[in-house]
Amino acid sequence: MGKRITAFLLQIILAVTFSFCLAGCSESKKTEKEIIIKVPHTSTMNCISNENIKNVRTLLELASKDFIAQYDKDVKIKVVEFEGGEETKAITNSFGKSDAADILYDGFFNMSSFIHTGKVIPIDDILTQEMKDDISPAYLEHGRFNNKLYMLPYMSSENILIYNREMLEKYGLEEYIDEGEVISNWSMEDWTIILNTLADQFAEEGKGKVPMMMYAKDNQGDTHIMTMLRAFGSDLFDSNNNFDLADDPDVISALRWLQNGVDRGWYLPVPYDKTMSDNSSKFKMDELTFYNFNLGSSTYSRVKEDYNAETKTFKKYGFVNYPGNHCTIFNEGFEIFDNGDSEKIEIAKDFIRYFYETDKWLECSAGSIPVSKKVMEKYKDDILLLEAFSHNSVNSVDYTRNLPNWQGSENSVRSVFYQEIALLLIKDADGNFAVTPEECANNLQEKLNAAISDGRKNSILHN
Amino acid sequence: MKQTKSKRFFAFFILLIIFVIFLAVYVYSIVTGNILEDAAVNNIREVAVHDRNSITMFIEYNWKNQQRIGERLKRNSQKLKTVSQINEYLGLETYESTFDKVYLLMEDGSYYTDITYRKDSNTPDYYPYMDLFANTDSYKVIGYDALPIMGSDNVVIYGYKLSGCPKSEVLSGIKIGEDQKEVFAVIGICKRSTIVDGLVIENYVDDSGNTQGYSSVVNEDGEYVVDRKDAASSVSDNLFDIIERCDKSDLTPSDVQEKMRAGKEFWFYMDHNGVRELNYCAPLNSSSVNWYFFMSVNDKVLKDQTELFVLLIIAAMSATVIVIIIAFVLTIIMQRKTQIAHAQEKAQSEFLSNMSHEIRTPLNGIIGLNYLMMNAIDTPEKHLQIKEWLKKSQNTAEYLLALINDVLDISKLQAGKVEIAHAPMLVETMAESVYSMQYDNITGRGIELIKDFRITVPCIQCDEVHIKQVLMNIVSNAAKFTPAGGIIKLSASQSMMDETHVMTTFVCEDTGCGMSKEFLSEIFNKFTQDRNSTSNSTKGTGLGMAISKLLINAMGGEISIESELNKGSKFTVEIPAEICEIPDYLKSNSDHDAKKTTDSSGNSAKSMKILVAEDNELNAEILMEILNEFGFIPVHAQNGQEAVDIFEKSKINEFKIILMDMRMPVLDGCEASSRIRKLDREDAKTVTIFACTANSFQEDRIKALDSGMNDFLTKPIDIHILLQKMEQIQREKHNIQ
Repeated sequence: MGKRITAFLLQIILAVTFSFCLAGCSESKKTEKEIIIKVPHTSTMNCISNENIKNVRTLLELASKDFIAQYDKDVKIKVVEFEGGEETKAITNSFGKSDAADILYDGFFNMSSFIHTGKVIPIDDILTQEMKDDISPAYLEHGRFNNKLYMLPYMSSENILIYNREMLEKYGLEEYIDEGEVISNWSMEDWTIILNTLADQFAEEGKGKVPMMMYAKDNQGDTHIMTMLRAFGSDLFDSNNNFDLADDPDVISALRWLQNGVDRGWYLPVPYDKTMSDNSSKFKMDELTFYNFNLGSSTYSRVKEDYNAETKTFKKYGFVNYPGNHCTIFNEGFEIFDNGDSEKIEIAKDFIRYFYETDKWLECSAGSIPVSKKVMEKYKDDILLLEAFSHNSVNSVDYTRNLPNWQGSENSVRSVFYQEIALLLIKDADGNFAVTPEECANNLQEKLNAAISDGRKNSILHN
Repeated sequence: MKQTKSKRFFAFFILLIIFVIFLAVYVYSIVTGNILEDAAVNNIREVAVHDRNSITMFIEYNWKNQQRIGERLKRNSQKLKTVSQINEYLGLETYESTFDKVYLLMEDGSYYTDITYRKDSNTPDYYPYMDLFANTDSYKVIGYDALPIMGSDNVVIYGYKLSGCPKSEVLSGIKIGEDQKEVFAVIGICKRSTIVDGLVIENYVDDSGNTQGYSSVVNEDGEYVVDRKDAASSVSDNLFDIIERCDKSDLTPSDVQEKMRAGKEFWFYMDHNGVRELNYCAPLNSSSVNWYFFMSVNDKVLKDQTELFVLLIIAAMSATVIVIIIAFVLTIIMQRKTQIAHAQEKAQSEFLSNMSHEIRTPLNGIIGLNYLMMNAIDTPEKHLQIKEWLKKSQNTAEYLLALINDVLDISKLQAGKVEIAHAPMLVETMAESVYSMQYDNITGRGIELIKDFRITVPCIQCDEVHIKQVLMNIVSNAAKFTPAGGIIKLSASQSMMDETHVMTTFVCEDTGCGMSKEFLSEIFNKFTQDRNSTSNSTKGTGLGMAISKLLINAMGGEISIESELNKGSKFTVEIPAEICEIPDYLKSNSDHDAKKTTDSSGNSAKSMKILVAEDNELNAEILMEILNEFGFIPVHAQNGQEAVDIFEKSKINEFKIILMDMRMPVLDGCEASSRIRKLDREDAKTVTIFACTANSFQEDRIKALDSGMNDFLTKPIDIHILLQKMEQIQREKHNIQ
């Protein structure tokens, strides 16, 4: 009898366990693999092969649908947008959660920090020989760290400055204007003359116009400001990829030149409390002369309207490299994350491979600068300024060098940099600046190198 | 049948208890769940109160901030002539304030910002801030998604009227700019996240980071002042409209409006697109606005908060219940074991009582007969009577011996000390043997004995002795319980189990008295005899069937009985066994053995001197007498030491055999044997020593053999077995030589 009771109890326990197992099994059967692709809200596109595609999210949603239709596995792909600049919240903070990104599409300078989390997998195996032959090696090189490819470039934006040529013309600065699809290079003396002339004239007008963009309220657009620290010839880094600023006279000169702009009225009032968006708004109102520009900019449509195809000239706009004749290459592309599911990694790789091997998706990169040679060849005549940007790439600088802790923490390079620049621009009630250029250089070197050092200490690379 | 009913009742009782306990757990979990849900709701209410206070304080603070901006503006307005000056002034105000942007709205709808002057709708990114004041004469706060000048951020716009505002009359009439327009209002813009970050409700996020609750502020017309950003807000920017369009709501829009106007704090549930929301509404604690704080929390949050607790409670309760059930079952099992132990104890007691009775009875008989015979021994005319008494005494003694042997067998079988032999056995020969041995006994009773042997596999590996013992027991029982004129049929048959094994079935059917059902169910118990049967005159130990079953089971077989009272019984013995070839020594077994035995009893015993070591005088005398009768020359030793001494003093090979009692005073049999074997004389190693003991346990055998004895004889000594063993030993020695 005792055995029967024991058997009865065991049967109940087994039945309950079995029911739970069945429930678990049925649950797991229902679960198809879901790949999450994350993309910043700010990833706008000027896709000329498909005018319906206005942003990367739409592009990836369409590509996902086609990929799933032809894929032999039962998968679901969800494209999730996050606010621009919220990479930490969207990517790092979701590690280990159900909404963790499997694929990230973003700018390389945002993505490079994630390489050092140990979550980003090397994707050299995605590259077919055809892809290797098609993508310019320089772009691929931007995606490598320690000789492994972590970021696969899709398209590229070359950042330069656009200017309101009518303002230059109005105040006798025509000599500095180059006609046609040309990106100008001016000496620092030229820059100083142009900015001072415009600032003086605008002050006289009293309409609130200013010549030069400047902002330091947040980290958006900080790389453009950082590029201007090279204006007098500094490379910013030493041979060990540490910032070398404090003892570099070229850096001190650049900082002094930027600080002098406050006194000379080059910038919007209270520039340390202005954002890139403030400057953009000001430029759109024709109250700012120089502002950032690339082929993905919202200004690009106005530039196309301004272009006279017959005379091959622009009426309102002109283009120039940043002071010091530099431009920045802003690559965009893909990263794949290891969230502990090898099957999802393989699906993510299959998707990326499919995306690059399918011409209609690859060609959507035409609008910005495509990294694909064949796309570039096909659309080079259809994209205004594409050739000019192509020729100008020799002036590009590698501004992040894929260094760790560039962003994503409170002491990251981006978190530190704009605050030090804000201090450079602040004047007290007596008209004295909060810091001298030398102090600013010292502070920058100390804090930026501390950020990188921390990043190196905490860097984990995926095997 | 009674036992089966009891078992069913017991199982039902257990199931009932389990059901009641689980029902109690279920009810308890529901009650606990409700309590926890109330606690969770209260928790959410606390969060809501916190959020409501945060929003109220934030709004109040911003009003004051704007008022101060207005006051400073009044002091500095004379300095603000150009756009650049106003931009810079507002830039500094923005930098110093809690707002992300501070604008000055002019009476004509144009406005100055910290970067520009936006004149009218033709100006890029112009926003009609004047619309904010369409329904208010003082303050206004609205939520706005993605204001162009603020990028993609959601913002909250605070409007503070300066011109004509009854609450800020001193700030009316401030004029700035080249055209000296009057400043209509101060506009403060801050990112919505500035408010939202301070709201606890943002903690209600699921694993995917999605917010599961929203705080908002609505005015008494249901319009969102600080809006909610979810699926519902896309339906409409009016709360009442959302309630109207939702799938289901506990309250109608008019109910909600009525409660709001009454300044009440209240809850209600609302379903949107399959999502159930708990909505909390309470008036803001602000004297300056007549707004209401409104919080919606996904019902899932409540469930998430309570489910874990309920699950934990259920798990804990279930574990407790399981432990109680296990303890209960164990108690019952222990109780039953105790009952069984008591029963066994009782059975043991009964067994001893039976044993006592069973042994005393024949002993008394023997004693009584001996008494009669002693009295009559000198009376010649009673010699015939004495002969009869002797015969009865002999029978009684044999019964007593059989009883003791059976008890010992039972004891050994139950202790697992019976070794089942696996030696070749001629099935038909064995069956014939049983038949032959029982033939005279049965036919002498006027019963017909029929045999029916259908043996297909002649030789199998099994324990012949024990099978024969079982069959003899069954057939002799049949003889006892079958009246004269009856029939007993002994049959044997075989069926192949596989290529190497055969099932041999022995059946003994009789037309005897049969057995009652009650007895049948007890037949394999010890000391069981059917007292109700007609066999009162028959005598058995009552242990035979118990022994038979134990033996057959030990061989892997089965024994079963079919019986009907007054009609007869049928005993079936099934024994599985391995098939084997007939070994040579079995081919002419019986004739050879018989001849040898005869020879040994006749010739080889002549003039053989046997040393008998036995401390019991009576046993020694009997044994000496028997040996004398068979022509041996026995010499008696009263203990082991004396046996050693006699042997040591004897001539070489004077004693061929020593019969050594195991238990003796001075020196026991084993030690004596060991010493004899160690003596320095040539026959010390060769003299045959038989251990003689009433014990027949395996350990006694091992002990005897280890001490140097050759073989084992069970008391009382069967002289025929002694002769056989002597013959065997002599033959073995001869073969060795």
